[in-house]
Amino acid sequence: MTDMVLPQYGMGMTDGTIIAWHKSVGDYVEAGEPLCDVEAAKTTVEVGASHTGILQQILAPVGTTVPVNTVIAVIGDAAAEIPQSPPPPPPIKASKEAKEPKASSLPAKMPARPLADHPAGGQGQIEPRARRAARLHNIDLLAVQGTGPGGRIIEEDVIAHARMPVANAAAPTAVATAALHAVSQLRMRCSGAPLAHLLDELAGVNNIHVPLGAALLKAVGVAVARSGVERRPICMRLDNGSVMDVEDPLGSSLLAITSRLEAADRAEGSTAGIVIELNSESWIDEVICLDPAFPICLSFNQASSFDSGGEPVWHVTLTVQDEVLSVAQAKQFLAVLRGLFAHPLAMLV
Amino acid sequence: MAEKTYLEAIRDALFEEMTRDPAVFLMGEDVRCNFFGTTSGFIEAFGLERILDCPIAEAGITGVAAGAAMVGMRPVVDFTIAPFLYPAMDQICSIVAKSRYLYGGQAKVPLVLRANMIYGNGGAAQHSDRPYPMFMHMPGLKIMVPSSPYEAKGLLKTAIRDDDPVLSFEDASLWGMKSDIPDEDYAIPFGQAAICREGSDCTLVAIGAMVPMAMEAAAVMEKQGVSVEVIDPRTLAPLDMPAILGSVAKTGRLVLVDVAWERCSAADHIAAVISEEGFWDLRAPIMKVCTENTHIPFNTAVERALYPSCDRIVAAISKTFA
Repeated sequence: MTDMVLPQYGMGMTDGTIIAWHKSVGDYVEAGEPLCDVEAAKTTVEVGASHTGILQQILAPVGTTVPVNTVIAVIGDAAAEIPQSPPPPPPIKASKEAKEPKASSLPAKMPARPLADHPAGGQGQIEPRARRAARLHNIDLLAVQGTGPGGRIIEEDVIAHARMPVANAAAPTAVATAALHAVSQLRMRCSGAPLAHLLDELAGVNNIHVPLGAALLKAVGVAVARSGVERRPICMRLDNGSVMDVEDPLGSSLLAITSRLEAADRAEGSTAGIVIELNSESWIDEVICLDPAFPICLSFNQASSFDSGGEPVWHVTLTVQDEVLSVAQAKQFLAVLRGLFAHPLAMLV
Repeated sequence: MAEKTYLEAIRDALFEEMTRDPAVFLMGEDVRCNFFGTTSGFIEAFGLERILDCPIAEAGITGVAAGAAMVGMRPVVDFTIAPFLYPAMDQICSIVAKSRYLYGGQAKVPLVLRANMIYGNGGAAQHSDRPYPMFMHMPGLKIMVPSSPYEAKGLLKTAIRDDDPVLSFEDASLWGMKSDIPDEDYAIPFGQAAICREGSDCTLVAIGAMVPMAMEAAAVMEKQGVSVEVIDPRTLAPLDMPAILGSVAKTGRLVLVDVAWERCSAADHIAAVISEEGFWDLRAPIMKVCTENTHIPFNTAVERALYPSCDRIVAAISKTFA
C-alpha cells in the first residue's frame, strides 16, 4: 500500500483541484500512467500514477481542492496483494487473460500518449513532420487542431497555428507542451522531489552578476531567439527595493537590465521559470528576473561581493518550473554559467 | 542514338570494353555458345583465348577469376543465373570481397560477376532467386541492378573499369525492353541514383525491373491526383542515400519496391536508414512492396502473386495517405 500525494509541479503552487480521475478504484495502474487531471495556477496538468499497482482508494474526489503533498489516492502493491498470479491483470478481464501470462503481464490499457497529445479526439496521431514543425515554432501541440487522416495533426496544421495571431502574446503558458510535462513528471517522480533541482558549486568569480548575465544571454537568450519570441530585456532589482548598480563589461546588455528594474516583479509568485539561489557566507538578498511578460524568470540571493577573504564559493540551486521551461534548457543555462566561472575570459567573447 | 534491347546493351558493353582493354576477358558456363545472347560474334572478334567456357564448378570459376584479377586481368564471369552464385559463396565473400583489404591495398580484384535473375516463369524454388541483398551485407562488394538497357550498358562499363569486384544482377524480365542508347561511349557512375520521374507527394524507390512497374504505378496515382517521385538507386552498393533522403524531405512519404524477399531486403535497409536519418521528414509510415518470405513455387499463377505488382504498389502508396 502506497500513498500517492498531490505533486507540487509549480513553484507557486500551493494547492490543486482535481478535475478528473482516469481510473476507478480497483483498476490496475502503471507508474506514470495518467491517473488524474489537476488544475493549479490556471493550468491543467495530467498527473501520472506514482506507483504500479491496484488503485485502492481515491481520497480526493473530483472537484475537491487539496494542498500539495496531500494524499489523494492509495495504490496497493499488486505483487503483495495477489502473490499467486505474478502479473496483476485488470479485474474485469482477469479470467480471460490469466491463461496468457505474456499478454496479461502488460497493463490492459497501455496509456501510450493519445490523450496527452491530442485531446480533441481523432486518431491522436501526430506525424513526425508536425512534431518537428512544432519544435521549430515552439507550438504546443495540445492547442493544434488536426486536419489529417482521422484527425491526425499534420505539418500544415502546426504552421497554420503558428501564423494565427496570439491572443495574449505575453502569456507564458504558450510555451508549455504535453511532452515536456510528461518528461518532467517522470523525472520528478524518479527523484522523489516536488520540484526539479539542479545543484552546482561554483568558485572563482567575485561578482556574480557578470557571469549570470552572460550566461543568460548565451543560454536562455539563444533559446529564446530560436523560439522566435522577441527577446526582452533582463530586469534586476534588489530585495530591499533599491536599484543595484551593476558593473557591466558586456556593455548595454546589462545596462538594459538596470534600466528596467522598476518594472520588474519579484519572480516568485509570478511567471517564474527558473529560480537560482546563490548562497554564500554573507548575504545581500536580491532578485534578478526577466521581464514578467517573458516566460522565463530568475531569482537568486546574491552573496556579498565585498565579502572579505578568499574566493567566494557559490552554491547554486537551479529550480526549474516545468510548465515554463524544460529541464534541458535549465541545464544548458547552468552549464554555460559553470563554464563562465571556469573561464571568465569567455564572458568577453 | 540507337534503340537496343537490354541483352543487346549488355552485349555492346562487353564488346566495347573487350575491344578497348585487352585485359578484359569472359569466362563462365556456356559463354561460347552464346546461351542468353550476350556474346554474339565474340569468338570471331576476340578468339577462344578471351572467351573461356568453364566446367560446372562455380567456386573454381570464381577462384580462377579472382586470381586472374589480382595479377592484372579484368575477368567478367557469367554465372548464368543468380542462385548459381551460392556454390561460389566462400570465394566471393572470403576471397573476392576481402582480398584488397587483406593485402593492404597491394592486391586489387577488378572482377565482374554477372548473374541473371530469371523468375516469374515457373523456374521453381532453386532457380528463381533475387539474391542481391545477401551481397549488400558483405563489405567489399559493389552491386548494380540495372533497370533499363541504358542503365545496363552504362553501369556494366563502369563495373568493368572499376578496380573493385562488382556483382551485376540483371533482371531477365527486362531482356526484351528497348531504350535509346547513345552512339558515343558512356559510363554511369556508381552510387548515383536516377530520378526517373519527379513528384511532390510520395517517394517511390524501385530496384531493377521494379522501376518500370513503379513508373506504371506512378501514372495510375497521377490520375488520382497524387504526384509520385520515382527513384532508381541503380547501384545498391554504393547506395545513393542522399538522393532518397532528399526526396523524402520533399514528399514526406516513402514506398519501397524490391523484388527480393522482404526480410533483410534492400527495401528493409533503405527503410531503416530513412527511419534513422529522415524520420522527422515523414508524414506516414514507410511502406514496402517486396516478395513474400517463402519459397518460389513451380506454378506460375501462385508464383507471380508473390512478387510486387502495379496494384500492390498503388495500394501501398494509397496507404501512406490514409
